[in-house]
Amino acid sequence: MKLEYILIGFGILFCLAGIGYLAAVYVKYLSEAGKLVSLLVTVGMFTFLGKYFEGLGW
Amino acid sequence: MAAKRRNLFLYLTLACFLGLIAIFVVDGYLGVYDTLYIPSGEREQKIEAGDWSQWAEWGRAEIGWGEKALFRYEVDNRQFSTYSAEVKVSVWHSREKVRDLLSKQIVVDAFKKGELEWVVNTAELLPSGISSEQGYEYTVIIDRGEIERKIILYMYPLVTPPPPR
Repeated sequence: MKLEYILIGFGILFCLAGIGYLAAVYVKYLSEAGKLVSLLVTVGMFTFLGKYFEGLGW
Repeated sequence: MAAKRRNLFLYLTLACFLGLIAIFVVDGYLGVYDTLYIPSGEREQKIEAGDWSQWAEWGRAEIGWGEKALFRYEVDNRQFSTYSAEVKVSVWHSREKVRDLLSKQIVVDAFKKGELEWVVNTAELLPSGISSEQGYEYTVIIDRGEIERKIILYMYPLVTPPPPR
């Protein structure tokens, strides 16, 4: 069970690193609409992730 | 049932992540991007595609009177089709065209880069009534299809030092 948490932790870290890298490099190329949709999708992503961990009992 | 519901949230999280990457690739990476290299004294300044909308809408090239200013204009075609457009470059002052510098068709294959170069001979731009000991500004306008880029070309005075006593 602990190993699962470690793997999930790594997964989350990689996701955040990937998003951070993409955001830093390419966000200036996004259109205004693209930025808005990205923001909404990011909010949705963290909301669902929060719900998932809530279900796990965190 | 609870596990299914929990997994559904995980799948939705992954879907959002993939959607985010898709937006960055489609909206952020794909397209046609231009980069301009302008002279700034002895240095070459780079104005990237993302800079135009931020600070470099009025980028500034600096060159001494009588010197030749080399401009390089790079078009990066990040599309699946060939990109073609007519590029026109002209020099303006006080909203009046002073001179045409370039008019050329640029054709760039998919996911390739194309480059244009031109030289502004500032000796030819010295207006009457102005000496080369005074600074002067022109606007260089680059038209590429519907896209317009503007650069200030500042000619700084080359002051001759007084002879040693």
